[in-house]
Amino acid sequence: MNNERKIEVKPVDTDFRFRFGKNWRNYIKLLSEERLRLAMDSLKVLLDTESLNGKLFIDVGCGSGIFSLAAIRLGAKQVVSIDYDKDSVNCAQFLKERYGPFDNWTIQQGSILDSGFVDTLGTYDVVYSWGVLHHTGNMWKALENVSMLVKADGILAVSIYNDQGLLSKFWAFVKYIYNKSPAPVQWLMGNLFFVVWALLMLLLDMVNRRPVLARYHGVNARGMNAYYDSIDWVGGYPFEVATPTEIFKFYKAKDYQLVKLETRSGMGCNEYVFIKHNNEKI
Amino acid sequence: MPTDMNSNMKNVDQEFRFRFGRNWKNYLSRYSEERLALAIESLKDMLEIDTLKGKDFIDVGCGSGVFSLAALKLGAERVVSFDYDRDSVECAQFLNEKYGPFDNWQIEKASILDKEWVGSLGQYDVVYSWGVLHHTGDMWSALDNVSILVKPQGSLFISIYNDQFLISRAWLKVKYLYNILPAPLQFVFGNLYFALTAVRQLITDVINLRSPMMRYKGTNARGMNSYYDAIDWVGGYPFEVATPAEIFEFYKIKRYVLTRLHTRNGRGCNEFVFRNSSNLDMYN
Repeated sequence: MNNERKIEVKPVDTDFRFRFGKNWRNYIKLLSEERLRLAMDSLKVLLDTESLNGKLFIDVGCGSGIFSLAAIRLGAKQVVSIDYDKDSVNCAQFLKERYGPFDNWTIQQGSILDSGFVDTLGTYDVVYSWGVLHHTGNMWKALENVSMLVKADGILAVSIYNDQGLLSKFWAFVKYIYNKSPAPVQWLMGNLFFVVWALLMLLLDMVNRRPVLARYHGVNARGMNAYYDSIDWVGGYPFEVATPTEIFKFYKAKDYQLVKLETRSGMGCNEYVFIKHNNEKI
Repeated sequence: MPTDMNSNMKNVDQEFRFRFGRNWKNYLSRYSEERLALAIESLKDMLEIDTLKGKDFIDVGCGSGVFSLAALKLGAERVVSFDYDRDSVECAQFLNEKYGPFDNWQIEKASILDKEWVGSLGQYDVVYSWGVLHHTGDMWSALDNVSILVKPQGSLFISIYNDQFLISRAWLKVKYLYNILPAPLQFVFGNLYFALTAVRQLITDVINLRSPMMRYKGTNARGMNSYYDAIDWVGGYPFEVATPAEIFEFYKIKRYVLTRLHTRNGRGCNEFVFRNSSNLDMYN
């Protein structure tokens, strides 16, 4: 965990992937105490705990770093944040300086697909990887590698895009086009998608008689922002998906027990919390 | 739903509900060994077993009775089947005569919502209720009541309609409409729906480069039939739905551990197998 391993950015797909971190950089300008509190609340609910006192926490694909910061605020003994994206690493470092500095928060650039790197990280009470592993280009390998980070009786919290069959294939195509396009076209695509999405949500909110502006009051339940989330969606590439059945089966074979499940009916991520059982098979 | 003392046996057909059993009777008349074999495979796969030797098996809402028969064929020591629908009970009895009779197969006409009656049934190694409890009119009570039947460390195998939110609510209206129509119109409605389904499936199959005829080779993976499944779907009422998360949470609180999960993207049933671990202190 305390390794000072030199960062090696492999040239594999640096050129052809969505720059998530750049999007996060815009987002953290908006970070408020309220958002941080929402992120903390969502972690508490997710992990079914009031505090992370004494726990080792790793955030795989930390993105903005806000959930790593939330873990620190919840009393985690040690937080390690990793991301493949340089901008994301910078975001997390920015948060660390702004809110800290914390000497129990380590931020590293690295890929979860790099088994050698993952080996150096040690094991954790809580392994958190939210909406990340399906963007690595090799989701199943990534799902395998995060499991190396979980202590016996530790918790693994992952969220993975829902497999919508043909519809997912359509989105993979859209994302591919986005990432092949020059910046102005990307801007157009991103904003067009946001507008269409916003109209759809407006309609849905009206049908369900919900306040239509609630989702734009800065934050949603995870403390995220509707606009940046939608840019993330339309651009997010590489892009893979999985059914709840597949994820459940994959970790069951590794003796993980599902303790929390949140599924989506359409697009978006399914959320899973597993506990790793060491010896006793139940 | 009648839950008073003697109500199990009476007034069933006057009730406002789809007559699932009548549909099953039609299905059984085209029944084949192949379907039984597929039902056996489906049980083996989902329960992760090769045999039910020495096990008690209860089939809640047995429908055609095919899965009860499959359990017997897998060597179950005792099988109890019950259904609220008289035609379904007759289907199961027909199978019992055709393939048996088995003196370890008990067939009853009763409602899972009749908690007192359910409490008199004892406990089972395997409680099977496939595509049933969402048709009772009170799904959550039914989900609660089936859990009374599971032995400690026993398995509960259920399937429940996937919640598609707005789409599910639209289907509820369609099903309601079907059930208030006179029989000849139901026939037209049902067949029209089947035709639409067939066209949609044809398109899907072509897009996915599958043979569009496969699904009409009599059976699907559970040994069921496309046509009767379609009629069952369009008419099936009462009708409730649940997300996988809701079902998971409901049984988690009862200290059931999920051992199998099969979710649907769109409409159709999510399948769950749970193990009753309420006797173990496993959530610390």
